[in-house]
Amino acid sequence: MADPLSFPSPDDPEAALASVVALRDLADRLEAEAVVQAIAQGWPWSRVAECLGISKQGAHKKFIHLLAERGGRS
Amino acid sequence: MKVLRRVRDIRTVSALLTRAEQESLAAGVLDPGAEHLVLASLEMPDGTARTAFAALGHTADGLRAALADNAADALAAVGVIGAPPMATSGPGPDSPAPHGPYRSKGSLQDLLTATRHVANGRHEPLMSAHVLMAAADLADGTLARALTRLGVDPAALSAAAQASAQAGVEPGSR
Repeated sequence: MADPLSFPSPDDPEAALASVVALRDLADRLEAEAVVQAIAQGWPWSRVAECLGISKQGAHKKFIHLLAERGGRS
Repeated sequence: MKVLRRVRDIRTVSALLTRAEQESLAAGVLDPGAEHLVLASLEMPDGTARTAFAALGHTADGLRAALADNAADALAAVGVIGAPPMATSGPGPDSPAPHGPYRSKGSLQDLLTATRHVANGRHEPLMSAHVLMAAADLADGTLARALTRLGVDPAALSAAAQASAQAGVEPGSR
């Protein structure tokens, strides 16, 4: 079993901030892969947006470059 | 001459930003940061950044690997083990040029501003080596940590980039 999530030591803010950035990037990657899969499965942008809690226009604008890079529909 | 240089600089910035976005998307990160601008500089056709980085014994693939290793370590430090590793292959040759509004992290914008200042201060047309000179001044952040992991000495990086830029300046283009 993996170690439980933990907060880094307050004595090392540099390491803590590096972890924050890595967590943000990981969330970015998870979000990106999920959206690519959803669109590939034929989801409408309105459903993707609803799941993410953002506007349809905002979702389209945010992921359009990624989909172009992955060869998906836009 | 100044107008020609300005037009050329705009084209260089455009190429850097396009490649930086391709680098970030290949890694699955939506908005490019300073690290992606440096990776972009290492792929620019002028070759000045690539030459400087190679003079220190490093490559773009090595920097991508250092970024991925640092990210894995930073996640492990808070208990996130086994997350899919960040891609280290870079964008493919047929990666499409992104279109539409450009999104980027503040770290990219700050490094680009610093890069322009470096080029203007040296009275040189903007070259990829100027990105490395500006990057050498960064003490903290994702890029600085990756360069530290590689064992890159900032002063040596700056010196190598200056030498490469000097060699890359075409006569009469200042």
